[in-house]
Amino acid sequence: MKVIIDQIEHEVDGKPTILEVASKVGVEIPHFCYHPGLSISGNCRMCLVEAGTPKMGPNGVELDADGKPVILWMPKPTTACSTQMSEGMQVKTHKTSKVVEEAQKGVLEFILINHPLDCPICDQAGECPLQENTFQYGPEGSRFEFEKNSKPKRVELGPNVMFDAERCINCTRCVRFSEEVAKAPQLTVINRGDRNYIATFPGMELDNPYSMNVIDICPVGALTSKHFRFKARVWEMSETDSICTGCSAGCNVKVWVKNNEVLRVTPRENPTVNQWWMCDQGRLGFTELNENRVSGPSFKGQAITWEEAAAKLSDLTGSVPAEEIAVIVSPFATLEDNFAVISHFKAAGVTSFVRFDHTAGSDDHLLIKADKSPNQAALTLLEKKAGGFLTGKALASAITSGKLRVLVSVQENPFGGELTSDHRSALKAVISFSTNLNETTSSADLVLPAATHAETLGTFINAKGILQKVRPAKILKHQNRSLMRETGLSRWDKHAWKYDKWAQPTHVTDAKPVWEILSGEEYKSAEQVFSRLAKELPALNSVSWSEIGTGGIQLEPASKPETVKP
Amino acid sequence: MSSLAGYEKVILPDIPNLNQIEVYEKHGGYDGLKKALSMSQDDVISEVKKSGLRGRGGAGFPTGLKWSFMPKGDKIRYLACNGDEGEPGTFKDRQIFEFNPHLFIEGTLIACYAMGIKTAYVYIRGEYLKWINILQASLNEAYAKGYAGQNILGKGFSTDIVIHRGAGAYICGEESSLMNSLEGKRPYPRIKPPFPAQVGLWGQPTTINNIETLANAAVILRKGADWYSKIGAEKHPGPVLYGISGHVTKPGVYEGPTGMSLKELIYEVAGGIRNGKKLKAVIPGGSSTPILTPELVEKATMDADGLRAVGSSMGTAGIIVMDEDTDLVDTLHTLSKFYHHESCGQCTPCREGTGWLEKVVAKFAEGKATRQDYDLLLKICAQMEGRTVCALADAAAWPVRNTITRFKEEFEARMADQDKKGWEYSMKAVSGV
Amino acid sequence: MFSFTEENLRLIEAEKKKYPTVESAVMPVLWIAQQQNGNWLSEEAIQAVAGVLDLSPAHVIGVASFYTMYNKQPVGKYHLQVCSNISCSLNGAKKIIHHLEKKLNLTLGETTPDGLYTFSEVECLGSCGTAPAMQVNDEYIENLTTEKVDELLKELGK
Repeated sequence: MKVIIDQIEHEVDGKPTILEVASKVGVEIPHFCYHPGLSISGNCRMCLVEAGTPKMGPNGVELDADGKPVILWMPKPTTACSTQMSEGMQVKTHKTSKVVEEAQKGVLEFILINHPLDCPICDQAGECPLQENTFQYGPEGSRFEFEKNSKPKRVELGPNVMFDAERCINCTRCVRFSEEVAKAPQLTVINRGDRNYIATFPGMELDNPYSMNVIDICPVGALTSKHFRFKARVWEMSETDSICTGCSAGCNVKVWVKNNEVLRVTPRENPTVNQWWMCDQGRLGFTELNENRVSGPSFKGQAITWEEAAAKLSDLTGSVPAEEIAVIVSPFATLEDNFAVISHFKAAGVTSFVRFDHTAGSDDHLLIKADKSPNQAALTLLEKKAGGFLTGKALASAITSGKLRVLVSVQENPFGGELTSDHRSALKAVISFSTNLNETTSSADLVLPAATHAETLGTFINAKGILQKVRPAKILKHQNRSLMRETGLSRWDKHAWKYDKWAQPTHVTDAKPVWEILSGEEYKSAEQVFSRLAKELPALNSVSWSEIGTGGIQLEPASKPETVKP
Repeated sequence: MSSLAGYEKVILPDIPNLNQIEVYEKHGGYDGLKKALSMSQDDVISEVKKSGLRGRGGAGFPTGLKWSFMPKGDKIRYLACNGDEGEPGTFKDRQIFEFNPHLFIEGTLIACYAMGIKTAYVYIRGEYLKWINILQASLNEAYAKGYAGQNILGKGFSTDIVIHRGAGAYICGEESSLMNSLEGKRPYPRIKPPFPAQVGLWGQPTTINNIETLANAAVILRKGADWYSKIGAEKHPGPVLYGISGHVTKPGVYEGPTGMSLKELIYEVAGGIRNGKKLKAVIPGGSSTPILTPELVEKATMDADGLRAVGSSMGTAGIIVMDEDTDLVDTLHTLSKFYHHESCGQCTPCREGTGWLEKVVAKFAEGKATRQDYDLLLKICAQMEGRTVCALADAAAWPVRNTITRFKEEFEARMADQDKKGWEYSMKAVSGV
Repeated sequence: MFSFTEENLRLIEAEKKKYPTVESAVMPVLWIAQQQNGNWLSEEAIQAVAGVLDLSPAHVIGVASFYTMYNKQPVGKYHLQVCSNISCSLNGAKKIIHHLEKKLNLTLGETTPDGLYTFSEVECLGSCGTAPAMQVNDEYIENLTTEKVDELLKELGK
């Protein structure tokens, strides 16, 4: 059907609302309570527009003297979020209607009369819809001259979320999210009128696995992250589009970095993967990207150079026949890393490749998957090339029986569970490619620091078979230029002054992507590794690096299973 | 000649113990229901349409037309009877519960029959426990006598009537808020469309009628639409309960035809202004209807057109009379405080505007207001009116707008001294708005 | 710890049957809880309501906190609720309020130390024709005068 917004005609399908059409065609209508992932509540009144429908006469639409349809305008402005468009409907936004412009000013003035103007100390500043809308559509001052309402501040709603009731504008997004999406009705609005604010039941916490999404959708600084509060102004951070590696859901995220330190991870909209949401566990898993890192290669606890490390690697793997070497591949590493690992050791004659299982519990109703590793599907694609995978159990018994004497662990921690100190004694040598210090790095002969998913570029395949990219949000000590190109920039980075992240050596890790450690001069970039593997793996034959983009691509389900029984 | 000469009271007739079913039956009670059950559903709706009955809850919407909006078919549908009666100055429904509960029950049953409704919920404000108990007793009698419940009067039609007690919230008198309250949700008004006739209680088609409206429906079926439509004002006919309060000698609820002159109601029916004082102002239809000056009172008749002509409306016909000694600034402050207290807080303009209005009106009451505050009040009103889901914001703005414009001198007199002298302080320069 | 009496549990079951959804019974069940709990709703009582209706306690407190007649704090044996809205004010409600404040030595919203009276201001009670009016618990006392208030307090204080 045809509809007209600000005198411009648009062709739309279905029964969209005015706001849906407007956002689709690029007409901005400011709003607070509307969220595409939640039910319509229509309470903030920010999206008021004028709307009218053609007057129908006995012979269809009545026309005026100029041959244009006569429009019956609604007597009052209507909310764009809740009004469905119909054939011939005309809409006037603030661009063409003084009434709408005044209504927007009025609503903003009302919202602000009891809102503390504490933007200078508010975490939301810089990414605050209230701030932005006030700047663009608001009145230039306030005529309110009374004391503002006083409400609870610094309320710990739960383990991860702080609440400031004075900043709350009662949009109820958080309440609707908890009920409708998280299916955990732990929040409500209490009291009434301008005494309203949101609360949990006394003594109960907002502690559902998705609780922190309310922080993202809060259009003001009322709900803030306990972990991020006062850590940075948002414009000081760079944001890099990446994906969460906390489980096999592969939620799309933005990784926020200041001084080369990840300060927060927030969900990024992807309608086929995670919509607008992610779980708290995935969001808070970033500390391992900053802390407890393996930095610089080492041999028996002594720091060595990368060149020495390469020599040690070939010494150790050459010390026994190739059939006595086991290589543990990793569902936490990129497809490119795993491809490079399997190619490298296969070429050396290794036949025992091991893959650990990381399933625990079951999938929940929303995003959390039983498979806690993010890239098992990639290993499945590589299974044929590897000649099948041993399980952790089979590995353990092969070590005990003396069949396998050198162990290469790539981004796994076998001595953290699957293997014991007895297995260690039975092994001649252990080589660990690892991002973080753990039981395996402390018992390994050779430790090679691997880049985390926040420092590398590469692909992951989630449980639904969607191929997606992680991107480097942090830099490494020896930054590969192909990585730098993909790294997100903050305003500070762009303007390069002394606090920018390149300048802070304390947070820079001496690590490399595994493919880079292993490939020597063979590959210059993850893209090159990908082009090679895409040629080799039928499921990826038709996939090009660039088309993966930031949204990922769904692999053909038919070509996905390529398992060969070992 | 008095408009009440020869008028036959039908809603609150002077019959003792009319709340007892035997007495009620003796005086034609449940004849309307019997008649309705002998007619087709559509004919009952036509009869109500023909009567010209308009809702008595405040909005004055034609009742028969509202009933006809209910979709046909097998869908479960509901009737919600609005006895929240929270509009200040309104105290009529409680008289029906107390003195003629069966008339309301009969009207409810007729409405249910006409619209194919099997369950009616009567929402009564929580404070009215006494009248809830009276109505429940009458309802039990009606069930016992086979007027309500299964297979009513052997005609195969069944309807249950359930009483739901409110708990102190003016907003629940707004029909969609009432539905959310009944559903056990926070009683925020709902966005319309969808209208209740499509999506109402528990998502089903629903009609909401005021208690007095339903009582009138019983009268219409008993006496006939022709008889009914000849009572009172032609375009807004029927008997109506005038609730007269304030500075009159005999305050109370009086039944009369619509279209009576406001003057007659004040000076004859309610015995005139107490202590021989002069009239200062009248609110004709509950607290949110625009206030009238004595000049306007002279001209006003109590029907939709008559009150529109003087820039007000019929509302609930709750007439609040104020004598010459009344402090209108204080009175307005009372009302602004009320609307601030009762705003549900859902929509921004109402949640924030009601509190702001109260604060600025308080400045007048304290003698601290400026000329800018006067203009500001009008501007806040303009920013509230027609900007919200329900009409509470309008109901809060109208008394302010109308009182300060129709009684401007009184507000000017309460401005701070420097402002009375015309001291100008340009707020515009500060706010730019 | 609050738990519903057997009789009240039966009443609750009856209330649930009146509505197509269990959620709808929240208001009547809150009334039952308030009555059993000495005319106010403690957090335990609200939790018990959520329990019998299988609702989230947050939702129930959201509903309960909206309405003024659900007392969220203990109230005295006699809850004096004086209307101060327009018709009552026109007829001297303010005088009645001041009189009660003096007489009980309370400000609005407070309870006497002996727990006998709680004194509140309420919005329109629908007693405009018999103003000023107040409620003592659920009972209406109308056409108030200061003398009538004195008599009432004497009666209640016995």
